[in-house]
Amino acid sequence: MEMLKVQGLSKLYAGKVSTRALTDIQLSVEQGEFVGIMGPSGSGKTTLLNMVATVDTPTSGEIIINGKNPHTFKKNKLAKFRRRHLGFVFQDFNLLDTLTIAENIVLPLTLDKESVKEMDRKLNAVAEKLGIVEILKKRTYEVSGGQQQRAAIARAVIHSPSLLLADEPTGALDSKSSRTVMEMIEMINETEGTTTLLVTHDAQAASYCHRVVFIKDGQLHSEIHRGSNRQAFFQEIIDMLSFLGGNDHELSSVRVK
Amino acid sequence: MNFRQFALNNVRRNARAYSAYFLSSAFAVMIFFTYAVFIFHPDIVNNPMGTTIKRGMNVAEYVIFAFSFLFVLYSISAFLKVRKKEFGILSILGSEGKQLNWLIFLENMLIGIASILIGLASGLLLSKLFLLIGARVAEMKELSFYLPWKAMALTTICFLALFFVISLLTLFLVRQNRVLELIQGSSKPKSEPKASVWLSFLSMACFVGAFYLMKQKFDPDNLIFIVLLGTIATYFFFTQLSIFIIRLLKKNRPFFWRGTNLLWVSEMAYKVKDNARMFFMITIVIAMSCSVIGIILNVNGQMAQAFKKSEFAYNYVTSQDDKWKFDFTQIKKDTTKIDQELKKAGIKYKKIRYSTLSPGTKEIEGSTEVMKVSSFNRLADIYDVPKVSSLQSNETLLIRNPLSADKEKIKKVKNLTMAKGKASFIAIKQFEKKLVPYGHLAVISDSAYAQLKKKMPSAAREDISTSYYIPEWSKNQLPDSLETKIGKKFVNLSRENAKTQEDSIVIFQSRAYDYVMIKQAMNIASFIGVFIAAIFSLSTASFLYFKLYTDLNQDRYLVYSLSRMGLSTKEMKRSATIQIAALFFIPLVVAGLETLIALSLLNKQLGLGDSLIPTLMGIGSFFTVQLIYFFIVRSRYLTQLKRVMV
Repeated sequence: MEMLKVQGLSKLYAGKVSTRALTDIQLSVEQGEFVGIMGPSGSGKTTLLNMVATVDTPTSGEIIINGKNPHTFKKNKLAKFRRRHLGFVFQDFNLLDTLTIAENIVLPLTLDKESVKEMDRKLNAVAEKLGIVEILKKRTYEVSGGQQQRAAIARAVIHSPSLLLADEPTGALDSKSSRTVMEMIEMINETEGTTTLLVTHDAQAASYCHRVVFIKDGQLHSEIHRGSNRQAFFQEIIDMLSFLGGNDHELSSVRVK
Repeated sequence: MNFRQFALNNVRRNARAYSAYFLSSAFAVMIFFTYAVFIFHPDIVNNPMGTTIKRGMNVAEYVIFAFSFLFVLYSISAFLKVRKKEFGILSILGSEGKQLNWLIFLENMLIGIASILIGLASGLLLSKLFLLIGARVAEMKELSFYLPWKAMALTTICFLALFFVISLLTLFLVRQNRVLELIQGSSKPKSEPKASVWLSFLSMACFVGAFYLMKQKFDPDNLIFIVLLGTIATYFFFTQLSIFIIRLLKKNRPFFWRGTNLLWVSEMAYKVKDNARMFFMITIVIAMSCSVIGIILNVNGQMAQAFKKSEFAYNYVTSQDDKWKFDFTQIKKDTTKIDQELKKAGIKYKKIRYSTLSPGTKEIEGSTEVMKVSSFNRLADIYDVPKVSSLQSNETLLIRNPLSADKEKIKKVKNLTMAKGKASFIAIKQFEKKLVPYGHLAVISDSAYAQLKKKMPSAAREDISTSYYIPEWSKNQLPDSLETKIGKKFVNLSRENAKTQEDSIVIFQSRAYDYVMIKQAMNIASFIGVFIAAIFSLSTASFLYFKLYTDLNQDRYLVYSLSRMGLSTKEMKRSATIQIAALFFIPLVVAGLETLIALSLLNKQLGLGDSLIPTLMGIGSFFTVQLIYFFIVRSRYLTQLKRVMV
């Protein structure tokens, strides 16, 4: 089943000098698939993600998520749609300082007024899975970045979303935490079958995907599929990135020489 | 560019960041100045309104100054917090602590001087309006505008000193921080507000204690304790108990984990803790001024009643001197003057002279005057009351004061024991009428009166009153009536006499003039009370606004990420509205409750009558003003947040 279908998507930023951020993007993601989007800075990958996340509107073309076109919804309905069908993981975690980790994780459920019993059950299940049970009562500034990101993942998947959107989830983490976080996303994708879209600069992170789509100058450039070997896939990604002319500094520090 | 230029440019080019601090300082100067213009006004200075009121007006000026100090200190600490990062950068670039201090000091003084100038200028404009309202409230003729050198000098000196001291104080505010903390600025997450169980308990205990003391018999010493306990209770209510309550709310998960509650309840603990001291101040001020307004409106109403129910226009009272003698020539001289004055104005009057005793009664609290039945019958002629044919030597006719608070209690009185038990009477009849200026009246037979006089305690004296009944003035007009004018003349005359003669025993009473004078004094007092409270509530509102804007960037970021996760605009509005409303109305609600409880209990004790309506009016007016601020602040805040909603 097709979970996400992007058809003829274009985005034009009007202004004194209008910029074409995306041109005629076609993308199809099957249910349970784990897709990475890569590309040099300014290639339009975040714009694409924002439009899939329904926080930005396309100039032309359409996006179908789980058979629905959320861009035709009214604002409040759209907010509800995001809350129920999408899950977000951000580079800077976006956890609220005023809440404990547990409260942060159940936040989307409280907005939907679920019963406390149900929330507790889901919270325990997801915390167990992500290995953050012992920090649930702590506050955001008492735990490490990796733990915060795992909490953010827990928040993003606690309502079993149709689509998990991750925007540079490893961008603010050290390599060890990055690996743990990526393993967690992979595990969620495998065990829950959550369709996942990952935008990243980090070839190491991208190597966890089933398939990586490359964008350059707002247009689809190519895509590569992962075989059985992650290490080989990682090398392929690196090669593709250097082929695309991405700047060196964008490449991960764990690049194999 | 030398360092001084740097400081100047820093202020000049960064005007927007400094404007909030600058405006609040200028505002404080303006209020202080306007008020100084009022109290230094020649007409006010020369007005014979009694020393208590004048002292009260001066105290109000001190209060305004003290508040200005806190206000400016508070805004500068909020302002410096925003600029932490800037100081961090300067430190990293290698500016010495001394230079940084000098910079802050210079900036402060620059802003201070500028705000004094602006405050004086706008204060001049405002004072015109203020004088106009002040004159109307005090029922005086218009207060002319004048060049207030004295007020200007006072304001300038006071505020220069204030800014100097505050500049020094701010150095401590900045110096404690390490560079790293400065660089991280205000973005560092704050730890969860803590509340001590014991202090929360203390707050509750103080509330209960104050309540208990109020229930006791009224005693001026207790009043101080009540105020003290109430103040402590309020302080710890905001700093501890409220946080404690929020923590309890958080433990109640079916409530806390529901809808937007999670968002605003958790945010609330921080906001309350941050603003606790300000909440405390505003609560105390509002509670006090509402109490004052309540009492004043109440007393005003009572004075009007007293005026309407008094049967006599004037009353001339002479007491016996030290040798138990009356100065009859003086009485003759003074009353003749009054007679002449009334005749000259062509007014018909009836004059009656009678003597009274105040022996003190066991059964009735407050004063009860005793009168001969023969005097009473002469009064009854004039005042249209049924006469009494005869009384036995142990019988009395009790006439209640219609203004007394414990009329119901007195209705049940059967016996009157007077002069510390040396005489006792049976009350054969009772009715209500105001025939004597103060208290109740007991009528006894002439022979019993003569005997009672002998049994009186040595300190008590006999009074001779000369009352004037003027039929034309029964439907009385105020305040410029002839009655008031003549009354004023004789009241002033008797005051003059009192100054020259020591141990004066002559009192001249004019119901109309007394009423006008008390009303005027009360009006000025309530005007000042309302003014101060209005300043407090206005500045609280601008503080809250300022604080909300300081946190705006953080809130915007938060709302943006929440909205990406599916927070709808409706939910955002709801959560933000609850938060802002709580900031605006919690102090008001607490103050209102405190006032209502305090006044209702005190009134029972003091017999002030019903004060619910006047108090509600006082609180209601604050509420209205705060409501307007609330809507303005809310709409501006929401507009800002709505922009980042996706």
